[in-house]
Amino acid sequence: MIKKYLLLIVLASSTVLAKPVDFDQLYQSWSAGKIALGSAEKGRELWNYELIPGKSCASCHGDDLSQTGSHVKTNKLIKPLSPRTNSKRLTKARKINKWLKRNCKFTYKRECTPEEKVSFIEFIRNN
Amino acid sequence: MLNKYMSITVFFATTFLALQSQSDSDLWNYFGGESRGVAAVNNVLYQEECGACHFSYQPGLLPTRSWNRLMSRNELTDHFGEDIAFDDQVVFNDLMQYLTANAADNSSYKRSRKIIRSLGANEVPLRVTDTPYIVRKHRKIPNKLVIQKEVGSIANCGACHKSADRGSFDDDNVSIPNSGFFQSWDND
Repeated sequence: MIKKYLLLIVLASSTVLAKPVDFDQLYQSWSAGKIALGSAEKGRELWNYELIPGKSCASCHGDDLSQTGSHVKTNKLIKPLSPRTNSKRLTKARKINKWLKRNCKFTYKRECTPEEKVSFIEFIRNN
Repeated sequence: MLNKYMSITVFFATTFLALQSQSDSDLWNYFGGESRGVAAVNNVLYQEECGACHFSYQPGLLPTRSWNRLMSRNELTDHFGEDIAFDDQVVFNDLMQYLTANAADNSSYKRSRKIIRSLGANEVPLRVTDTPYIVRKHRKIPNKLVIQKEVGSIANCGACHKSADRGSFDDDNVSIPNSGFFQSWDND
């Protein structure tokens, strides 16, 4: 009897934890319900783009997303960004939003456009 | 016979504890001694929010007044050049509470006390590496070992202090990359 309830609790909690991010919904939340443009290809182009010299996504996260990165200013190691290597990546909308904002400001000194954000996430999802 | 084993045991136990008392070890603290390092970070939120980009500097490395200034609106929007202002007020409050409750002036750990003692009452350092105690402890390290790519700056604690994550900055756990054979840079 107890075992049955334990099993139910485990199953219930795992469904909550494993609830995947609805990317279409997330993208629409950035562009007020309109279809957001942006693509993995565009993301790849932006990845090495230095609006500020010496600062691109790749300066900290590297060119190969399956590898550990290193913060360009502090040398702090950064776990791989690729969801294939690091299953925790892109699993929480809250974290995606937080880091897109913080890191766009770090790299471009401004927040990213919806199109840029979609491109980055699509690129990361596919690498 | 029993006495002989007893005295050997007591001898080793005493020696062990005497050695422990000289290192930044939690064990010594467990037996009621003063802790020599700084209190280790035990806050997941702090590790996630601050430790994602840089070493999770233990709150006990700076006084409350420094943390208050670092967490002010002005400083957060220009955190050594970066805008890291918090959107989530709950996150901000929790971090503020953790930082001030464990700041150096609220800690009994030996290195926290030393940092506080080295500071003038009106000094509000924004960097751990600006506190006189930390400056003095690192002044003999050749610059080329600091600026090399494996280290970068004195602020990269973990590059040389192999137990820095645990709040231990003991000499025994220092290994400076490419410094050749063991050399002590700290003769104080």
